[in-house]
Amino acid sequence: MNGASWLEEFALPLARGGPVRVRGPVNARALKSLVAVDLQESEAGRRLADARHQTVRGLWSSAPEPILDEDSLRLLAAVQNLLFLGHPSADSTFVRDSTLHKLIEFSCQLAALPDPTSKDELAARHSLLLHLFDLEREDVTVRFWAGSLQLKGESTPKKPYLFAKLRRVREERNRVKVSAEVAQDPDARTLLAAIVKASPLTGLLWSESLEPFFDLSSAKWLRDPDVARAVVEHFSSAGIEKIGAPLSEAALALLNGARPGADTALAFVCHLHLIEVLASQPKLPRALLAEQDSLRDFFALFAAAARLGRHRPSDVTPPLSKVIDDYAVACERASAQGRVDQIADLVRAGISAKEEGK
Amino acid sequence: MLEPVSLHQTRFNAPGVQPDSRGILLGRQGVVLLASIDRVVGFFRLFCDETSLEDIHSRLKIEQVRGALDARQFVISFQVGSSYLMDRVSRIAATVGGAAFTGSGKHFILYRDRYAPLGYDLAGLETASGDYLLYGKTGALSCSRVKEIPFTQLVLSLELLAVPGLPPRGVERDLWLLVREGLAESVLGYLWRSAVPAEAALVEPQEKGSFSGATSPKWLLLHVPELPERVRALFSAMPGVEIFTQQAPRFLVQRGHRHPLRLAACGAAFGEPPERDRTYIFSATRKSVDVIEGVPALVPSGDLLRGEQSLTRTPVGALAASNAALVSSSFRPAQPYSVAVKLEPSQGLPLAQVATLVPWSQVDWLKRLVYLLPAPLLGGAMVMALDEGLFVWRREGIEGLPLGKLFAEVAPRVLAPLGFGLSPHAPPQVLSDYLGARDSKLIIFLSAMAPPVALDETEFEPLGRRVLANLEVAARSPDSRLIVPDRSEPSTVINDSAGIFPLWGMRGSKLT
Repeated sequence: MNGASWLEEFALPLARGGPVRVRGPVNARALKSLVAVDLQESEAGRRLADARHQTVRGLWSSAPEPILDEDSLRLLAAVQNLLFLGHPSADSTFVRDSTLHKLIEFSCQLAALPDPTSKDELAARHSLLLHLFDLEREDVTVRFWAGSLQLKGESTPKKPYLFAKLRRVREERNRVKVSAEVAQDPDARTLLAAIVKASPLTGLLWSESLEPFFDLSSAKWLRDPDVARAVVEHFSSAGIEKIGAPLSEAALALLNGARPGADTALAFVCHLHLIEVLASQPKLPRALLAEQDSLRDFFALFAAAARLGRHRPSDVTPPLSKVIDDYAVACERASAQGRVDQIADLVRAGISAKEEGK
Repeated sequence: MLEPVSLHQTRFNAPGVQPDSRGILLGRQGVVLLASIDRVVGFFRLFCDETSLEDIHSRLKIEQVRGALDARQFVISFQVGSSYLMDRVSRIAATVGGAAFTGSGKHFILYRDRYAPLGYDLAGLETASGDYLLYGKTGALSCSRVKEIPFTQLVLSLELLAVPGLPPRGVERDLWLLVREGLAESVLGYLWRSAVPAEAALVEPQEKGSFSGATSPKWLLLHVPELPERVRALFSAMPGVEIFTQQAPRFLVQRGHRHPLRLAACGAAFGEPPERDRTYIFSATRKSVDVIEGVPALVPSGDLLRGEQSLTRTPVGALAASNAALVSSSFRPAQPYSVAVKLEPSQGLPLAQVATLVPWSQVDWLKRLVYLLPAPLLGGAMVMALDEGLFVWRREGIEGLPLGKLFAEVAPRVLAPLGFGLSPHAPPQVLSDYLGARDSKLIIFLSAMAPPVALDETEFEPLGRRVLANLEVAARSPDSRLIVPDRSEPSTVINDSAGIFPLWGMRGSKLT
């Protein structure tokens, strides 16, 4: 495998946008050859580093330029193998199911990286996968009088279009979201989950795309103000309407098992509410619920936190404290009474379990 | 055949559909399938009672279709804006025994119900021929178009319904009378003698066709703001006279009846030419619809009476003789009787100044003055260039502009130089009507001696825009010293050839 062209045609578009070319999967030998070459200093490696640096500086300005180390190559190889699962060759006669499972297993091993040691490493991994969740593929179906031809992201040959009028050739183009398609298959979903686990920031920033498999187990990173600020900025631009339901569901899953990071997740949800309260034109819970009923738990979480006095920092003074408390009352009114009671019990149980653990 | 759509499903077998913001599967078009024309009427009746037809008017089609078993059915198709609208359509369709579908092209799938809250998707496409392929729970129905029934034709062909209950007593307001041409003079005279104010126009309904007989009869259309009960009772029983109420702009329906559809909600269907420029009179007595081109130009009914009739009040005892004479005489417009309107110095209090004529020699002063004018004055002032100079007009008053020759509004939309008034001292509205100051027309007496001129209000321009000179605006691009991220291209996966054995060597792959 030519490392420079692979970087140019696969890794760089994945990090910067553009056409991502997928060929065969990356096996152990190919990975070894990639690691052996110093790709960082190649022309494509420099351009990839520039693109990644722009991404990480957009998250927090102090982030250094990411380097293309072995972990990065492993992560990219895992993504390539994930995308290969949607390649037409993966369905060919010469591909056995057992080999395909072997590929997924190997790719999961590739993605099983140790947790990032710093927030800069966190951002560096995310910069590789920046466009993973907005990848699309153009599928073309060519129908003619004797049958049809399906092309999944492949270049269209000329032959099926010959004598188009005579053969009654019709073409149908359809854009498919690759991540959503991958999530349909349980094995591929396992690999996707492993990749997201290797890059926790990607998981946090693309939580709406990961619904209903979104997991807040990496919530501990939200304790870092820079990370929290970057995620909040992304959530605010996406809008509460989009993010509220998966976020509250994931936070409730953590609270339900009193799992690590539950209190951080709750604090983060409350933080998002406070950002909404401080907005120039805050949206009222009742108005939002009228548009989208799935946000009910999102407001119920804040109302439950308010009952336990965990909805705002204790040093907030009037008149702001009154505004926040009024908002909490509005959240409680908008939510079902029984649901707020349930969630308040969950939060209480989560806190007491944590104190006992101490 | 149909599969319920699941939450967050992104791929669908049905063509041309996609989930909306609520996740409900929706196509570009909606279709309602109904078994008979009376159900079509029932559907529109319920829909128009609830909301306006504007919601579905875009690409609305009513078509008679033939199914596989040669059964004639009706399909209503329209463009869908949102799932909320489609919910309403589906509910109404179910009420009248129909079914709602959504989709595009020729493939339409059953709209959502309680068993599939996000709608249905197809297990596979049918290849049957036909103009519509409607996928229901029990199978696909292929329908071929037989004919299209325009909505306007449906509205005009429906018979009026009698309104139950007793008619209201006392004076009734805003009524219209349709009087046969032969009775016109008698009715006009009767109304005048009874001191009932009215406006009238002679109208000629459209001919039905080349073989409908001789030319259509002319009618006198009268608008009566207040019709006393006694007169109303007389006209109700009089052959050749029909009483109408206005149920929507341009729609008159015979009193005591209503159209099956709420006509006020059907305005959108009649909003395009030529329907837009017509007046429709629904008669229950004759079971017909008279279509009149344009909006009748109404004039005070007194003006249509013969001269001696309007100038002398007939004694009550002489009514019968007078009426007989009028019936025998043919209907013709009133004899002209006119008094010249002229300007004369006004003796009363000065009126508010609303316009000024700035001579061309003072236009530069006006330009300089613009810098000092307050924003509200500059904003409301309109200007038009005339031979004599710039005519600046502002409805609310132009006291802040001390230039040129000032004008006051001596009658509605009639302007005269300050200090002058119109003679004779008739009511201002009468003078305004007489001078033809209607619609967008503005009548200006530029001087006491010259005849008035008419200006079109639409040709005025805002003063601010007129006086602003062209300003060159230079385009600037961002400085390169600030690093901004690249505008990323859309990320698209392209699957290149992976060879015949793409997983060759994968079996032995192991991380070292």
